[in-house]
Amino acid sequence: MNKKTVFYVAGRLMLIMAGILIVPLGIALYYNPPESFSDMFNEPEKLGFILAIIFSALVGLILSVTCRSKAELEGIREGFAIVSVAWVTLGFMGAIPFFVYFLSSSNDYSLANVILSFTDAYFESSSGFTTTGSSILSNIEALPRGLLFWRSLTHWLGGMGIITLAIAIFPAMGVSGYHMFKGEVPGPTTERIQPRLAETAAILWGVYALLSLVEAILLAVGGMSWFDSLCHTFGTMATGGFSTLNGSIGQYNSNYFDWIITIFMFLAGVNFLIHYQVIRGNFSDLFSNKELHFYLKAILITIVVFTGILYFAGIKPVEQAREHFQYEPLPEEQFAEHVAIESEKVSTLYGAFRRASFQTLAIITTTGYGTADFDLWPDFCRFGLLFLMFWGGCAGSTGGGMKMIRVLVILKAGWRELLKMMRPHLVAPLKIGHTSMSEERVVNIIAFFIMFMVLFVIGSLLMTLFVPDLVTAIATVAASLGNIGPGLSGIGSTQNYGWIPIPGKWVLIIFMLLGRLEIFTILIALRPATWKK
Amino acid sequence: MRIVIVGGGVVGFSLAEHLMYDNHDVSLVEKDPNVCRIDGDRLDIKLVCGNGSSPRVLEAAGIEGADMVLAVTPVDELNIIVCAIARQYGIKSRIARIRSNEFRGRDAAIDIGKMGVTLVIDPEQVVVDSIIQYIETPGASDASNFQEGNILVRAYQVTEDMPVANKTLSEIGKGLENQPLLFVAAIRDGEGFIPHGDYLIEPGDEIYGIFQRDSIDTYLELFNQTRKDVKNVVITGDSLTAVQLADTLQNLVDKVVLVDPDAEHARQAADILNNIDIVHGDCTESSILKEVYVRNAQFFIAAAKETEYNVMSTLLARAEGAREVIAVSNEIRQDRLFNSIGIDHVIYPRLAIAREILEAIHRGQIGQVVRIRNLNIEALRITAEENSPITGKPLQHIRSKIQKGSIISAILRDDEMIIPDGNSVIEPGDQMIVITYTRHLSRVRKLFKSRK
Repeated sequence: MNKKTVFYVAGRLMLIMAGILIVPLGIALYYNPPESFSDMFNEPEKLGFILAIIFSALVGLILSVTCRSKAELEGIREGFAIVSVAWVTLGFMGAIPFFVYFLSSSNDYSLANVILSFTDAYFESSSGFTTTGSSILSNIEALPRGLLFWRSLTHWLGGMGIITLAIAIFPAMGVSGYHMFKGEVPGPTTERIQPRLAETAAILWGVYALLSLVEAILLAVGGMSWFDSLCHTFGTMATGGFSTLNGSIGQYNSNYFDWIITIFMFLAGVNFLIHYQVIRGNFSDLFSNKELHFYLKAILITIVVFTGILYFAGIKPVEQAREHFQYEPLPEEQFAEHVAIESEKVSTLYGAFRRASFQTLAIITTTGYGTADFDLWPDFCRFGLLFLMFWGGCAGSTGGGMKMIRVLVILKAGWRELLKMMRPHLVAPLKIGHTSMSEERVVNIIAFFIMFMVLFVIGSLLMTLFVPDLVTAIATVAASLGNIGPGLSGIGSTQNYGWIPIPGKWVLIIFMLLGRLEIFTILIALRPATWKK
Repeated sequence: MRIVIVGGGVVGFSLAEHLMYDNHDVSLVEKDPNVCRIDGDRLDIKLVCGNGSSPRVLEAAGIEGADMVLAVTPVDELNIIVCAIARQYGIKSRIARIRSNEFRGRDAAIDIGKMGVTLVIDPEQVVVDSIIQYIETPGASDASNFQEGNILVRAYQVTEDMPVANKTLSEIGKGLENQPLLFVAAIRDGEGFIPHGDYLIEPGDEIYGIFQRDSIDTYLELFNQTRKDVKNVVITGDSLTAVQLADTLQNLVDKVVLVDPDAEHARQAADILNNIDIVHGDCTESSILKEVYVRNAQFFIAAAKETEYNVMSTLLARAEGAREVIAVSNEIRQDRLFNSIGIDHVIYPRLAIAREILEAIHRGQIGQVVRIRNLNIEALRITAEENSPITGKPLQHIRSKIQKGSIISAILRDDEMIIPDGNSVIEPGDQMIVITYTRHLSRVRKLFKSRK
């Protein structure tokens, strides 16, 4: 293990980070211009960004000067270690503005509050970078514009990946970059479109930026302010889920916004290489890519079933619904109003279809936006959504979860074993479309599935220590590991993570990283043997 | 350039590596999934796992819009098919590695060009050529050729009794006024540098010179060597290379003996070869070596399929009194060992093939680099482009632009080698052999690039 190179690359990434942090500072200065220069350092929002920039630049410089080494970075271990170190440290740099803001706005500088503020800040930042979108804030709208923008920008950076961005910007990372690229890009397959990795990375980011631009324009045309449309675009394309409003997308109560965002959530969950081919005018992938077909079928079936159930059964009985508000109970009057509104939303067939479509895509792509309080939906839908949290988008998309291709392979592998038991001599390679998959990859995917499930169970068990009810405990881990955001009950779509005790938040932070970097990357970095010479 | 390589063996991978670092976009097709899985991440190239004769696989490797296809699998038929397919995709440059002599050379039964191959690389011939480089200049410690063997670079270890010893370069140069010959690099105490006229050659130095083929004998005399000494050569090996080498050598030396360890192969070789003594025997036994009078041989060359046999037999031949021994090795990984145990020259066929293909790719362009013994000195064959800074003016006017220490050692114009002086004017299209330090490489290249 060449630790020097690991820290050298981490240092370079921090320098990039310092540069990126100037953007939200600019937004903050634009929306709340300071009256004088010294004023900038008195407001917690701007001070936070300035400190974060200085700190990132300083640490980045120190690391890239002291750890510069001539050794070629070609090791597999180094690649995975860099990705892990980078995500942990960048999460830290991104947390600084939140930390400064939380601490100074609470005006309580006791140790307990410092720890709480730091935990919350790191939680918010990690949730952003990993595109989870779970928040500890109960009143999002109270946040100043700069911080709101930064929250959403972390999504956008984390969605396609900071290391992928760095590879696209500095093609020199090419050879050594491959293992980092593999460690960061979601899905079991990382195909190169172009021989040069830097070109492939640039294409991925280019397509990502292009789709984002289109969505932002469409939202702005529909009447959303530029600021909000950008923030919501970041949340959609990265399948993140941070909104600038307390009531998420539902607060607009707009048909147009609902459908635009539904469509773009769908697009964000599709392999970006397919987008690239389609943009180039090559549509053959649309017909031949079995993962895409599986993704489409899963979505369509879910929407049809949910629409039917919602339309015919309506929302839950009021007494049962009340249970979900046990951590931050609403006054009786507000509660009744909330139930009435939610019930109204799904009373027509179109209304049910609109909410079912939005919510299905929000969960299956692991975005986590909300236009309805699905916690009030019948248990079939609630559990159905929890189940979908594990699926995620396609490989090579920005979606989290296990990815469609893995689900498909696992289902096929299970079915194949059944056939083989009946006909022991059957030769049955696992085929996706017309191409056989190597047994090695099948085993790798099954191993991934097992790891995912084992971690999910261990996480849920741990969370029961910090969360009083089982459904919430399970939902927190499912929503974090799958990078979704909102879950059920105590962390349902109208709730937040603020009330969870500090150790519980740290457990969830780790699970968000495990989910975003697809488990193996983090586990490799956590193995002590990885760091030995 | 976008280049598709088919065949991921040593040849394919070393080509891919060179071309990648030379800023080409490289895709490589390899059929062995294990090679794909393990070696795939080593280079910044696109690796496609599959059969290279499948258009679908080639398309996945990006053959559409590629500039060149290199078919370098060990299988002739496959390489030809790849080129034929590549032609249908409109790729201009299609290079195939072909072993069988039924497809190439004078005796070819058919025209391989019609099958889509634009250039044939014959691995045996490449190996034979690199062995011959040493045989035509006996005693040389390092050798490389430019311009299809017309320009030679040779190194010699200087000893007290050589005419060049204890003279400065300008003193030596006076005796050779009309000979296109120039000393371009010197190694003293393990350090390499580009010498000037006042450089005094001392015994123990290793000196590199560049010269035209006509001046071979003049150059050899400077180091007390002569081609006439090379009378007897012993070759051992059960390979096509050994047979081809014997065939080529019989025109250059008086007597060639081929010792073939494989009885059946020896029989076949005897059918093909005339005027050559063929012995069936194992050269890792002293008795056989004595039988062929290896102590009278100026060269002993082991070119069998098995590297171990080549190493053992050359060592033994050396002990039995052969003057100079050459071993062919298919293993690149052990090169450090070979240099230290007393084998004069080791030929690595796969590297030689890769170098040959690179040379073919670069022919006519800015090009081939020969690194002199990892000593940070490069011999660079380069073409002056139209309107480049180096052209149009006498060299003495642009001396300041040429990096200190770098020399333009030869201008190659109309197959003629000219040693330039301060009054020489370089014309666009002239090829030059430039000797420079590695650190100046990119700046030197710029001098020859067209100004835009």
